[in-house]
Amino acid sequence: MAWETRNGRGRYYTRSRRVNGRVVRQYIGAGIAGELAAQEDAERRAEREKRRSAWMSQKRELEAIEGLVDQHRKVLMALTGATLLHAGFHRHRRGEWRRRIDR
Amino acid sequence: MTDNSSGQQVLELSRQEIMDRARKGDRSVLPQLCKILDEAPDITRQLGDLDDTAREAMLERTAGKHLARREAQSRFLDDLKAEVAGPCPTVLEALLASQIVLCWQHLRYAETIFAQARDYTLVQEDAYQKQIDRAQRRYLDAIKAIAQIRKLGLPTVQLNIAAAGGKQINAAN
Repeated sequence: MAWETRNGRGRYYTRSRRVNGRVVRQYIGAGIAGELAAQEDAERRAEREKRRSAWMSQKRELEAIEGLVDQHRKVLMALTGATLLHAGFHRHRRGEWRRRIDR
Repeated sequence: MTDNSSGQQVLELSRQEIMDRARKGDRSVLPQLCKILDEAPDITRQLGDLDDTAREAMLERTAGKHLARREAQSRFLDDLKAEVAGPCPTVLEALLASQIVLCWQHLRYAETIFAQARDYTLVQEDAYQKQIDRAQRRYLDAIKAIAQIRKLGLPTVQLNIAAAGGKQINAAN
């Protein structure tokens, strides 16, 4: 989206969009039509940026909380394993915990 | 590798590595493990801090400044924890019960956030769904862990506390 000048004959507002993988530039026009289109695009961009920023902030919050829950899980799983090992259990083929049988 | 070098290597392992190896059933870390378990109150305090921080952050998001709602949710979580832990839980059972409740709270939180989301893109929807899937997996794993501990019937841990010149107290938990 930009204002363009061709051969020094006034400013034109243009919009670029992708059609079948190719960038197609649409000439909106000069004067009031161009101004209105530019304003509309600016508002749309601001709205998109606002939504992106809200999503990033929410994503950070979700990740932070998940990080805490996951850390809690890791420490507790390690403590559980350690307690079982200490109590004489062993992991059978890296799977279930079984009581060690001394022969 | 000789036994001596293996022992030296074990000594150099961090607490997390020792715990991880113990979780996998590696008996070579047993002496270091005993030392860590002797310092267990430190681990339980760390777990308590993590639990509190995560719980408060989620309550903040789901109840906001609504004090009544916040208090109600908090009490509900406490009741749930007591119910999951049962009448006379061991220390480990109580910790696992708190983990189940934390994971359950996290699952509900992730579902609520997704339900409240508006105008999300496909990428965002995928991120929400993955978050819910991970939360559900953690929740089920926590339930499995407590069931396993109860099934194996771990011996109780006895604490012997004696003040200088005083009586010895034996507490089994």
